[in-house]
Amino acid sequence: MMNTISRLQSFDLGRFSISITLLMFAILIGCTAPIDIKTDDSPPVIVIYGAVTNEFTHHKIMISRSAPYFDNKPNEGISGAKVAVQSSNNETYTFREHDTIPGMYLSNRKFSAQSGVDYSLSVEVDFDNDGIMDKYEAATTILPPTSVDSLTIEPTTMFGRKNYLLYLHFQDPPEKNHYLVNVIYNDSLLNAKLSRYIISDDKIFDGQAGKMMIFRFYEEQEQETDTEGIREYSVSLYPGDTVITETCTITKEYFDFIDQCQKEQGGEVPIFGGPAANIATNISNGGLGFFTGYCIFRNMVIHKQEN
Amino acid sequence: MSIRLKTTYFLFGKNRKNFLHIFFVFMLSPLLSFSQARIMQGIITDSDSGEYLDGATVYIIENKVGTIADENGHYSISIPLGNCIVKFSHVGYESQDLVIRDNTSLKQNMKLKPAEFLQEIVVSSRKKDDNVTNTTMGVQRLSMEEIRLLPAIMGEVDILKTLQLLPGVQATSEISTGFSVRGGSPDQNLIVLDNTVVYNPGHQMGFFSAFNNDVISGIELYKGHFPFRHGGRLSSLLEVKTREMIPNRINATGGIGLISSRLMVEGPLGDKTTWIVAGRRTYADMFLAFAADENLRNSTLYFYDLNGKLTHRLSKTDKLELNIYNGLDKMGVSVGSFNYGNTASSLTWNHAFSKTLFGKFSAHFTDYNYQLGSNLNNMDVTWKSNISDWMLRADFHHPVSELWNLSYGISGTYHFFKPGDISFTGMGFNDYNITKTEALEYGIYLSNEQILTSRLSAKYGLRFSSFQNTGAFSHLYTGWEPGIGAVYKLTDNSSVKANYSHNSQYMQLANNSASGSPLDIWFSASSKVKPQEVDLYSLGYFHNLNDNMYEVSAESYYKNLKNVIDFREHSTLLLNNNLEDEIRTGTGKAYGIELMVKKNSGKLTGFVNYTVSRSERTIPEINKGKTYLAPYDKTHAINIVATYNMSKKVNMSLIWVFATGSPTTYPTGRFGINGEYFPVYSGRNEYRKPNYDRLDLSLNYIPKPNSKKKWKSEWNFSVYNVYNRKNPWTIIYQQNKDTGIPYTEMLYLFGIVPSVTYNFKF
Repeated sequence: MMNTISRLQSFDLGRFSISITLLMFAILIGCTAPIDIKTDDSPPVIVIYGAVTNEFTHHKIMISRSAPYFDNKPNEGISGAKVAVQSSNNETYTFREHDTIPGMYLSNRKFSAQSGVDYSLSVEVDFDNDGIMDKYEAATTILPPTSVDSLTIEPTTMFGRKNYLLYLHFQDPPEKNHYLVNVIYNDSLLNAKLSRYIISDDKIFDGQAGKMMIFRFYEEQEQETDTEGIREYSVSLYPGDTVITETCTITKEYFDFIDQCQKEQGGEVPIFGGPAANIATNISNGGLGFFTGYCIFRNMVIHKQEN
Repeated sequence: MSIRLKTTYFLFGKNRKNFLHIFFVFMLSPLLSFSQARIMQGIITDSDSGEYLDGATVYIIENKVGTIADENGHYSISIPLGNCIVKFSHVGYESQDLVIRDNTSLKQNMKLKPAEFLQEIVVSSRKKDDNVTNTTMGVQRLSMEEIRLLPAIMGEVDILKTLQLLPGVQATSEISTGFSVRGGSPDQNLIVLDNTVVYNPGHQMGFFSAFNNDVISGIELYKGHFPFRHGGRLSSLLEVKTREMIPNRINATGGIGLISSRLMVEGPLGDKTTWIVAGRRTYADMFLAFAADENLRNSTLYFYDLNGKLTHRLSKTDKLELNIYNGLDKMGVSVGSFNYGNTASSLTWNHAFSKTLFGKFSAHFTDYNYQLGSNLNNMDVTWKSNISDWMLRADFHHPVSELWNLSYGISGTYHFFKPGDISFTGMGFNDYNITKTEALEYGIYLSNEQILTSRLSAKYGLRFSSFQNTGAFSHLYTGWEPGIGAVYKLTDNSSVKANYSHNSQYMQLANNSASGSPLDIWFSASSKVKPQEVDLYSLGYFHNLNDNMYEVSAESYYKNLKNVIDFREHSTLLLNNNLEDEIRTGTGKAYGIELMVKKNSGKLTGFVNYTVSRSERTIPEINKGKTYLAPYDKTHAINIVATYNMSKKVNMSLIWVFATGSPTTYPTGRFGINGEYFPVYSGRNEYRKPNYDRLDLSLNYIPKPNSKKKWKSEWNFSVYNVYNRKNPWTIIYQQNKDTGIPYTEMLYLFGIVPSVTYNFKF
């Protein structure tokens, strides 16, 4: 319930309906039970996922093979691919496979993607082992970063529990924007998984200045997990803790990809969800996944002892 | 006579002349077969309570012709010259015969005495052989007497859930009050309470209906062939009617259940005025008061319904009626709230212009609204939305003769849509409002019901509708909605019927989940969204046995849908200023056969029905243009409903339900990113969820059935889902925490649920 209501003031207001559904799960005396479903197995396709950012670093592309949904082995990485990223400034960055992790490709040299420049990815590999190289391509544009004025932590009480709400204060540029926000707590990224990416479009606050809630921390003694299961983890905040946010201005296509992954991952959501549908991709030639690029804007706040 | 009524556009095509010719031949044919007759008319009432007996029958034994009293107990029938015997009857009442001679007065009010054994289930409030003789097909009626005896989850007897036991009607999801008729969407059902539309008749996310049993007299469901006075929906019309009583003294009825209590009080106010006041409230939040957590103690979680009715008889020919309904769901905690509810009210003036012309003039208002609010650290966000209608209508019933039984009327409705207004306080943002729109909808109709020969009767008519919306995509639509039905009696107890009708729908819900939602957004036809249309053809065989004790019927239907609406894959329907961009339209068809056997009297009563059907859609941008199953397609459905009267004190009821699992889309593959798996799906609705089945039982115990005291009471014990079947509400995909391998779980709502309710009357 707390998440549901607080979501109304949070960054992703426009996508809060799933929380309402989960709230209903809690109100109803719904129970879960194992069930086996039998489905056909779809043929394997290549899955490519990666990003280039304005960070000066070795950028990463992951290449793997899709599998039947209930396959009891992890999806395998694809080795031996020829991976390259080319910019619209005619710079080419080649990638090499990680020594120990099959399917992980890192750029040979560090580079930083530039705002306003287009980047295209090409992957060549004999995916179906027919002796002919298959080629997969994708392209992205790096949008200019959105600066965030400040980050604040404000205490509140919900259901008798002390909570700390993390607020982003910003001026949204006039054009249509889409955001991805990473929350780093004492050097650990809290939303590393795609299902926990914090995203929002600017539909509600287009071109305006204001503040939106990004994350909720608990007080020291509140270690239990959230009852609604929206976040399986809870993070306690202590005086002196450092919180960093990375606000990334992403393309609409990448926003849709994350949004669809989050909606489809757990299956159909009754009452508010729509029918199941395949997740969009920008990988050509029947591939799945996404290649993207964005600029990161960092803010930091240190949690202070309350008076 | 062969009649080819393909679509409304027939009227504008090269065959227009043929159509009009056929229409006018039908309308004028009564003039060609005029016979000598007198008109007898009057009012039929309950001799004890004075209640108007809606559906009482008047039958001329010599001619084997009859008529039915309207909702005000009015009847009007053509009497042959010479002597004859007229039989007045109504289910649950003792019949009375009246000998009519040439010099007998032609104004005959009749008071019928209630039959002694009222425990008998009344399956129909219409005349006994109505299902064989009535021209309309796909009509289902349930009286409250019948509904009250059936098992109910948590003891909350619910008319909308009972409705789902009828052939061709399916729940949208487990225990939901939302229903699908013959494979159509829930927003294709027009639900009216005393002729006022109720947009979202569900409480608690649709798990309870908005209709309080104590004030409802019964329901009628038309599965496609509507009476011409209503329109604007493709699948069905559900008419819910409140009580029509003229009590001699103040009466009260109520019940105390596990989750709610209710009370209805009615009484007279002088000779000419009667009133009803009723309320119902759940008390889940009262238990929260005992919660250990102080904040939970201050939480809100309940719904209530209030009904009021005032009837005033101005004169022998005039009656005024005021109906008011208000219902609200409230959920709230210290940091926010979620409220939603309906208001539906009407003022009706009934006037008898003459012995054969009755008019009804009414004004209606309906509103459905919801509001979400949050309050954190002195910052408020409020989200409000509503849809409201104002309607004026005039309807006339003009039973001139057996051959001229006319109905005609006109209606005008103003619709107002507020899809969502968000206001922020303390956050620095301006309010965010989705564009509000308005629309005007008009309907005008004329229909006639005639007995052509002793075996053949027909009903036919034409409705003209128009719809004009405002906003960026303003557009005017008009539509002709013809309908025709005929019944041919093979014998006194059996008949075949055929019906055709064409309906248009100008408004629909922006909701693409299979189950309903309180966050309703209705949107109208516009220059970007064409009205949905259906051509419905039905053919059926009806047979009553053993003096109408058993009713057997087989109905088949075929529906051809045009401009049927679905939504873009991954569409955003809430808070979207460009909703039109999310809509995809195509064609659809639905067909099926519904078999029903009913037993109307005796110790054991009830019905068994079986439906085999299919409902599909073809929309170019969805499922790569391949035809897919509609979400409510159920190949097979079986319902068994039985009540056994063991004694005057005890009766038992049983419900068994079976339905093929709903169509669904399952993942056939997966792709992985950062240790998480995401589904790769089959084509839309290529799989089905497990089949649904459930058994419910109930026992009604009346401690003192023969008591002469005013206070009368009974106990109802119900068990829902007796064999604890786990019917999946939804399938959830999970990943094993250790291995990361996906697996599935189902979420089911209820195992076995026993309940008890105490009902009283004084």
